[in-house]
Amino acid sequence: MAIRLSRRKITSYIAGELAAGKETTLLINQLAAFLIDSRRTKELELVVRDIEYELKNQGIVLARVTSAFDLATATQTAITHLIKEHTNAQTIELRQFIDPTVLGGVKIDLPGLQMDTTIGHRLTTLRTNLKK
Amino acid sequence: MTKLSVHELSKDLRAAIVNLESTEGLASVGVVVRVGDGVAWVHGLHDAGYSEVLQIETANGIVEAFALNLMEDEIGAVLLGTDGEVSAGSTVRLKGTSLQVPVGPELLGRVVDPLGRPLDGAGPIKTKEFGLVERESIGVMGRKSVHEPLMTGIMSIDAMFPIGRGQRELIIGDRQTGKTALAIDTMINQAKQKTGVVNVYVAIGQKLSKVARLVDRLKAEGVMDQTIVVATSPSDPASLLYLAPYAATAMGEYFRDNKQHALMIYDDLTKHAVAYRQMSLLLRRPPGREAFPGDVFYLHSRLLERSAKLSDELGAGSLTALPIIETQAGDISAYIPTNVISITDGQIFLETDLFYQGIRPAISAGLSVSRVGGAAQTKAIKSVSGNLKLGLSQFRELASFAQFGSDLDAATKSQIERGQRLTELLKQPQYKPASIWEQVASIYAVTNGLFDEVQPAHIKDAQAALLTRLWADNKKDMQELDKGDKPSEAQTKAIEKVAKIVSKGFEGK
Amino acid sequence: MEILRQFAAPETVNANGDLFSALGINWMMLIFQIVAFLLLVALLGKFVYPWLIKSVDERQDKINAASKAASEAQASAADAETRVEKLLKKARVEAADIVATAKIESASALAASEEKAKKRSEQIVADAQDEIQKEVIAAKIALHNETIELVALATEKVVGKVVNTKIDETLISDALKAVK
Repeated sequence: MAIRLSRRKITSYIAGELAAGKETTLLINQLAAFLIDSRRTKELELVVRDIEYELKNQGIVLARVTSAFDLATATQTAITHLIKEHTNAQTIELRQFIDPTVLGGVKIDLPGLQMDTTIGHRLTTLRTNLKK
Repeated sequence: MTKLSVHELSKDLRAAIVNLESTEGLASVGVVVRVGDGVAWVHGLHDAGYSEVLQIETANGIVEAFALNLMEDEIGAVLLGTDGEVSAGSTVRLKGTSLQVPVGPELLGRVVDPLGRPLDGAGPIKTKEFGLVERESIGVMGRKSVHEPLMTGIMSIDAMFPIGRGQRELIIGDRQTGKTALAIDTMINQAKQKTGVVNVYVAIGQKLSKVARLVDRLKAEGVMDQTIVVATSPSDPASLLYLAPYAATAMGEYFRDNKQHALMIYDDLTKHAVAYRQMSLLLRRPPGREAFPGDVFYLHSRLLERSAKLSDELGAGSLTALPIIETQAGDISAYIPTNVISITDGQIFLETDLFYQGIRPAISAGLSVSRVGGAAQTKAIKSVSGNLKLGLSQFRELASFAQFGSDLDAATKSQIERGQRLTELLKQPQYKPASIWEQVASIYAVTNGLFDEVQPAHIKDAQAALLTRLWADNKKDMQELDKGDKPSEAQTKAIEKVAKIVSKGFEGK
Repeated sequence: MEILRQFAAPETVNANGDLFSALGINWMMLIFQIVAFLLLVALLGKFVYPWLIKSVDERQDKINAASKAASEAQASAADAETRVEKLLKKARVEAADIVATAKIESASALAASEEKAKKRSEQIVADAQDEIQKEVIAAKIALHNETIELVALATEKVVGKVVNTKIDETLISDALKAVK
């Protein structure tokens, strides 16, 4: 009976290969084939998260930044600097998302980490957690 | 009386707004992958520890959970609220602490849930301290042997199966045999005798109507001021039922560790085991005997080991436990009952047959035991209990003879009649615990033949008359006797004198 | 002698000429009568007299016995009366004790029920006060929550209009500095 490979092991392997510079298309095809063969396609999103997490451990960070307005370059640099300090990453890629409902401030999503200083989040906290 | 104060309201709101200013920085987060049946499976949070509290953000606020299954790919977290608010994709954060509950004297007189949230609508509870729900028990060197009595006020128990402070005495029986009634009478007696023992009653999966009636009764008897009620209903999530006894024990440990004495009543551990089984099966843990997980013994052993008598160096406080187990058809050899019997320091077995014969409390003298025994008994009661036990055991041996209706010699007849009188004497109405002097006087009168002229059916009336008369005529002696020392000659003479007078009044009836 | 002769029968006066003849006493008859008398006495003495004496003795015994029984009965009656008197006295004392016990019991029961009623009324008052307090607390909580909701709503509306790119940048840089 085939032993079920944990997601962590699979993604650790993929991340390791990606960090080593192996061909991306081949790796993705291998991964897709494995997921289909082992009927684990539902775990795809979780696999992607885990790969991002493993890549973070390898020094490659993909960060999602959400704000109400477009971020200035200086702000982006400051955010990149903050991420570097916390994760010791060598490569950081910022992806910006504009969401007017956050009203102001910034939300930074890293694999396994988050910082939310948006006004929208504070108001939600006020509404929900501080009610008796 | 609490007044509506705008100033206070404004202060609260300002404090709430100020708290919004704090920035935590980059914090570990996970995401709920799937949720159902009170269990949320979380992806991420690789740093989470066992039993650590997780906070799940929902549209209506934070729902807490605690991590019970730490697996390679995900965490199984048991929700502490309803799973209706939690959805897949919800962000999950670590609270950074293990489960804690508020502890302290501020909880006295309150009805709370296992997380310390008030259920009685009497306002928020602000305690200065918090206690860990899961905590290691005191080591060997920190303990002292049980030597102080915990008077329950129930004659059969105090005379034949005495309970000491720091002991674990199981109350076991079928449904509707008076298990909770024994526990309630014990609590009432602590208030009546002003022992200073704090009661902590844990209702595990009990009907809220029953809890409400219990709280009303405790208030009526003036006991509620020294009682904490931790209540969970059958409609609460299994996680709360699982946590309830541990959280309540944390509340009791506060008093134990602060040189006071507390009494824990777990009503009942059978429902606790069932809730744990439900949680374990939903967490996909392998089922064992009767589908219980393999660590169901540990579930109760680590709970009950926290009840102890502390050494003098640690303050000499104590935590006594009266766990309750419900059996099916009197089967005390089932899985959970045998587990708990082997953990506790004795058991009080309640029989349905005795209950329906009118013998209430329906305590089986043959199957009940207290492994601490005389070390935890007052000298006063010890002096009369020997004859009581002897009389009853002789009666038990001869009871079957009486049923055959064969001609009996005078000695046998007298033993049977004595046994019948003792059985009648040990019947006790609910919510009427007896003090030490009342117990000593009553047992002394019957075991010394002073009531031999009284028909068994009138023994309770004779007892009432004896006690009333003794209190009226010999109050000082009885107050002295109530202190628990061996009865003096003057006290026994007073009892004999009054008993003879009372007995005359019942002759020929 | 002449006196004696006066009573003698005339035919005998002259027959013998002596006293006994004058008296008409026949020696043979006399002896015979004496013998007969003695015989009678003997017979009476042997057969009748003992029986008579026995009857008399028996009667006497009976009379004595009856007399003794009567005196004994009298004595035991006196004794019984004394004992009855003693028992009655004892019973009176016991009855007094029983009545005293009953009185004490009833007084105690009365006191207990009074105490119970007093406690109950105090409990009712305390419960009512608790209810009022709970209502006040509930009102406070409702007011607190409602106020928070209104504050959040107002803030949303205001901030949404006020915040622009510059203000946002300031907010973000302040937040990043606070984290460091």
